[in-house]
Amino acid sequence: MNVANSIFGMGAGTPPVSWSHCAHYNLPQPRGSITHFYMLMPHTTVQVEGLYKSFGTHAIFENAGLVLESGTVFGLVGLNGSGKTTFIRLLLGLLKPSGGVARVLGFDPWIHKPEYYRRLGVILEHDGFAGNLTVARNLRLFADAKGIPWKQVEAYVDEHWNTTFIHGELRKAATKVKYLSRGQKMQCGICRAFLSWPDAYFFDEPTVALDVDAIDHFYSLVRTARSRGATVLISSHQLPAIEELCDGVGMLHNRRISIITTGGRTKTGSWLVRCASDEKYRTIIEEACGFPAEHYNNAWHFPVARPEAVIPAMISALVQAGCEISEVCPDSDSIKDRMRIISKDAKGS
Amino acid sequence: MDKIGTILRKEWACFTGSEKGVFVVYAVLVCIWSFLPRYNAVNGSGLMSAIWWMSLSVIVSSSFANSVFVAERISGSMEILLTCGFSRNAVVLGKTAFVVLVSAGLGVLCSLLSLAWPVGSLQPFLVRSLLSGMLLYMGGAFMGAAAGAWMSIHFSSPRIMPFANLFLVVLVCSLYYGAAQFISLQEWVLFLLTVAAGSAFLWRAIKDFHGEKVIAPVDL
Repeated sequence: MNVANSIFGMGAGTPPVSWSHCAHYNLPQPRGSITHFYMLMPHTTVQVEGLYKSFGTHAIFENAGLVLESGTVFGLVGLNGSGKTTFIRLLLGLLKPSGGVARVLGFDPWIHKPEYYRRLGVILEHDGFAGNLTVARNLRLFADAKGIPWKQVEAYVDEHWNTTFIHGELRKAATKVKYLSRGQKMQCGICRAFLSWPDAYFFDEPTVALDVDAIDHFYSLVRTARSRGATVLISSHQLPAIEELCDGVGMLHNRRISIITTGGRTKTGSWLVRCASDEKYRTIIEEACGFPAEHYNNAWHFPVARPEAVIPAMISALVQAGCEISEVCPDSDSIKDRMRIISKDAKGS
Repeated sequence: MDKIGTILRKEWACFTGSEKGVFVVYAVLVCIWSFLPRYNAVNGSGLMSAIWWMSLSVIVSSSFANSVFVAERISGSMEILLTCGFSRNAVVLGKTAFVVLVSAGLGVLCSLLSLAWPVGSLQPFLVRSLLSGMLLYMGGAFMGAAAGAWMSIHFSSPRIMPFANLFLVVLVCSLYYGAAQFISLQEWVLFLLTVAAGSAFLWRAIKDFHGEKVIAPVDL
């Protein structure tokens, strides 16, 4: 069992997904010391372990896990109805987990502490603005909610939004939000989300209806937030945006989060082992690589940080367990390819 | 507490930013409803006075509760409001306070307008009649606002909210007038009944705003 698993107490079950928790590989000795690990571990922003969520008898998540650290941008993809929005709502405390633990910035979201929400930037399906109020009045309301002085808002807009219509709106305060286009409302939502540069961001389809300039602007804001040490979770069907912006990507499938790629400090590659879909093989693979593995297209797919060390040991363990392996290779499928395969599997089943 | 004020100011700004037609509707309503207080001021307060005031309070408070609670859920802005740094208690209390205060304002306007009607000559019991009516009106408005907050979460269809509020008022009035057949009851007892019912609804609404139902889809 690796150190990360022992830290999170997940030895027997699914290890929590962390695209950078393997950073401890590069730590000085002694490895495996829990205290030592905690002292040197990058600041964990999002920690989800063994998450269950169901609506009646319909399970959305079963034993899902995710760990995100500061200074990362993580993309969440999945087919329609896979639970992306539900996952974000769980992290925002809008829905209550049926089981498991979700912590963000050290807060339990379901406690609904205003201090927690003041450290978040949020974009959801709806813009959330009062249509009868002007852009400036709306921004003032949300600045009040977070305790941000108006001068600070003006300085922020002057610095980061001076080429957009929002800059003008702040000065003349003329247009009511209900008269803005969908894309303009989305820009206002982005402007609100980055107010005062919070520590964590949860974005649900943030680039919908944005034009090319607005998308580029959004990318630059996300990169600035990352450079400030914030954690950004983006749920989207816009795969080019995900691939361009995110350090790591996870896919919601089969009520769990499968890591597709990771980057940053613990850059991983994606590998596949073509063999039967026996659950005991899943356990061996997950214990070896430290990430959840997903079986589709007749192969186990998983990310791995140090393949040269992990893969031989994994193969040896699988063979000892009686596994007949027909292929082991880096997984070259793009996110789009994977989603197509998963979609096809789902329709087939 | 300052966040309650912020929510209140936000709702006020939204209301004042409404289309002109909204104000016309409320103006007509207040004009029509100001007739009975004038009638009472001239001829003496009767049994209908209380029900008249309570009916107005239900119409007004239900309408405002619909616009501040239900409309927010329909537009999806409730999710943003709950995740932007306001405490959930501040959201409920601020919105309820807005509904009560605006309803009260319309009630006061109604009372003042009743003095201006050129019908009959004013009697000395005018002040007592108006105050008594306003007291009942305020109780009804508080109950309507608090019940509206609670109903906005529990009723998937906002259409039935005004009817449910009306039913509630009829229920409370029936209880009061039924009991008044057997024991001597002053009108302030009816006021207390509405305040007690309003407090119970407000308590439940605050509790329910911490649950999942507050973001449940609304049937249109």
